[in-house]
Amino acid sequence: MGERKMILSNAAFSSSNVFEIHSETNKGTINSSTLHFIESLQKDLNELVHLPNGWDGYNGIPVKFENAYFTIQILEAICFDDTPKPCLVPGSKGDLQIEWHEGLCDIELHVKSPLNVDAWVKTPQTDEDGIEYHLTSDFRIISKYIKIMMEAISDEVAAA
Amino acid sequence: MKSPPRDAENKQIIPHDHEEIHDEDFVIRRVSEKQIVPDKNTGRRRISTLLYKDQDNNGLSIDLKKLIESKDLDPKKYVTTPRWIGSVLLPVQGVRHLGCKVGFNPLDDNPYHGEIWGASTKKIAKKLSALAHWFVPINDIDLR
Repeated sequence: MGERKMILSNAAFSSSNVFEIHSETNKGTINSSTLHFIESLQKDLNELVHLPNGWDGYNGIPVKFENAYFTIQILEAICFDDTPKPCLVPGSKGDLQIEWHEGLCDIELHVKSPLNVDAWVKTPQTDEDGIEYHLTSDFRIISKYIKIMMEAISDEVAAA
Repeated sequence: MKSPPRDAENKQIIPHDHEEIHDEDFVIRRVSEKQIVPDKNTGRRRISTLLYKDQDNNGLSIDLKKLIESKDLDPKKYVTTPRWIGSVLLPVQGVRHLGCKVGFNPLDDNPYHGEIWGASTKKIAKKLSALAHWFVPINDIDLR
């Protein structure tokens, strides 16, 4: 697990990396990604930005393009080469949540808007309520928890 | 049911505890397949905590069970479609005990619509999740 790019910034939005999320109202074009699960992630995000209005049974709107884009930026900053792909859950206001639940860890990042993320982490080392963070551009703390989760997954595999 | 309070411009509903939504009542929160996540720690699938988390106190949509019943409608049928396959029940008293407000916010296409205000932290969201019981369960999905 090598060192990761740790700091996100507004410049992320003019990045020349990654891919294209197709949206009727927004298009962002990027070219490459360091994430091994980028194709599958792209498929998931495309689906979320195209959810129909009212998808949640109420007045839910599709995930906003800028939140989908920032999600990729976060994941590129915090994930290692072999980090498992997270699950993505849409919120009702165009927001979304990135979730991992494995290795006896729970990591949840609620992307409310770019540079506005509520994080919650529970590991065997935290108490039952876990720890909450409000993050903007620096996600190094989450990268540390990802590493803890991946080590626990490796231990589980070794013990099996 | 009394109209909910609105702001000075009469546009937005103000977060409120509606006097006709009683502590002994229950409210319904619909669940979409999109809000189900795999939990490899348990080997099962469950509802994401995001179902119970509001964004910046804009309100968490709910259906008012007692109001639906007062119109001789079956609330289980009312809140269930092929898209919103499940739903959970929340006790109003428990929700208010967490410091949240439970109010009325009728919509053109849902006159039984209400809101929970105040669930904007993970701590509250997890406590709401702990209060929830299945109303229309989804097969093989855990509540939390």
